[in-house]
Amino acid sequence: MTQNFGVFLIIIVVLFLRTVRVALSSPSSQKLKRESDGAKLLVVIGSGGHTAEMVHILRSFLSDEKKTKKRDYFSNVFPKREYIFAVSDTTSVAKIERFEREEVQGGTNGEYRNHFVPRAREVGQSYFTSVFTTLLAFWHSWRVYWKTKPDAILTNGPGTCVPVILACFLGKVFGYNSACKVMYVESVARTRRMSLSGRLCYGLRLADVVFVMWPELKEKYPRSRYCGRIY
Amino acid sequence: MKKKKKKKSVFVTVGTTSFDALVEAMDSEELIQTLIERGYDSLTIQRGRGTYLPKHIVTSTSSERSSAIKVQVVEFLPSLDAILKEASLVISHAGAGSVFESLSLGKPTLVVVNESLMDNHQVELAETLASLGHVAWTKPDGLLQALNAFDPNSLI
Repeated sequence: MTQNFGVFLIIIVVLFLRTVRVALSSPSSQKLKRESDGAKLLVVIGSGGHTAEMVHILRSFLSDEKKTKKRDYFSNVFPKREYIFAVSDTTSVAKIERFEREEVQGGTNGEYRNHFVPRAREVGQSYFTSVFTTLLAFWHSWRVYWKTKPDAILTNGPGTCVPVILACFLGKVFGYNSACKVMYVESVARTRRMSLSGRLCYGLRLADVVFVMWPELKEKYPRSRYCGRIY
Repeated sequence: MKKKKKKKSVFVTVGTTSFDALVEAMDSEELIQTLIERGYDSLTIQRGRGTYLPKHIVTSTSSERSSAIKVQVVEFLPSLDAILKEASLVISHAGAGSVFESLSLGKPTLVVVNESLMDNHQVELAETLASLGHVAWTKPDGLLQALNAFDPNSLI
């Protein structure tokens, strides 16, 4: 009996230490994995304004490459893009498909796939019921994460992204896909205080890097990175 | 030759979800009169998933008024691009997507904050953009007043 308890305790301690280590590992300690066939990017699509913002973020990758005339096109860095949408968010699917079709696709620009998970939280849903819907969303997100095994995750909220980021974090604790980078971009709508998902990513160090678009936020959250406004 | 009067249209958008308080605030005869006085001749309201349907401004019996301003209400538009380009005034919920889309087309924008959202976070963006001089902002119950005080030329 006491022996079982001892084993249990050891497992708990090891997992705790792993968690702390994953959380505190510095983003620069591991470079983004780049295989010869390029890295895989998992983009978590919010909805409404978040989707529009994400298209701008993705587009900024494209235009930067064109400006610097580097050979490193977005599509070469991330030739495989996996998009996660909330079930029933057809508007966002249409926006992303239009972006892929009209701006990215053509030539050797790689490929993309769409995945769907239930929403963690509807706009206006109470915090309490959000707990249960988040659990369900977590299970589906984990399956997509497991199936796609991305090299990096890019998200700008809202709640939909939390299960995916948690899946990645827990994966790292157990040693699965430890090199995966998580990039969280706080919405341009947040000028003074981060959103709930932003604070989770920042406070619990679930994300490797948190980008903010207002200098005031950078001051308040010193570990974040100010990247200017996308609009 | 008589020069054709330039069209001036107003576009109201609530974004992806719903914002009944804004649609309801728009649905006022007094507000429509203000728009007419300011020379606007068409009004499009994108009302989203809300339940409130404009009554007064759509079923007006006054033919004089309905010839002065054309009113239409839609649920959603696949893209705001075309209608935004046409608009001379945009009355938008304070969602970043809609506001920046409007601003990037250089449209005079009046932002209406939806106070029922999580942390009331829309006020933040509205205030910040207003302090930079890019928009004017108000709450649904202050819409008429804000419209009267709205001066597109004062915005940067």
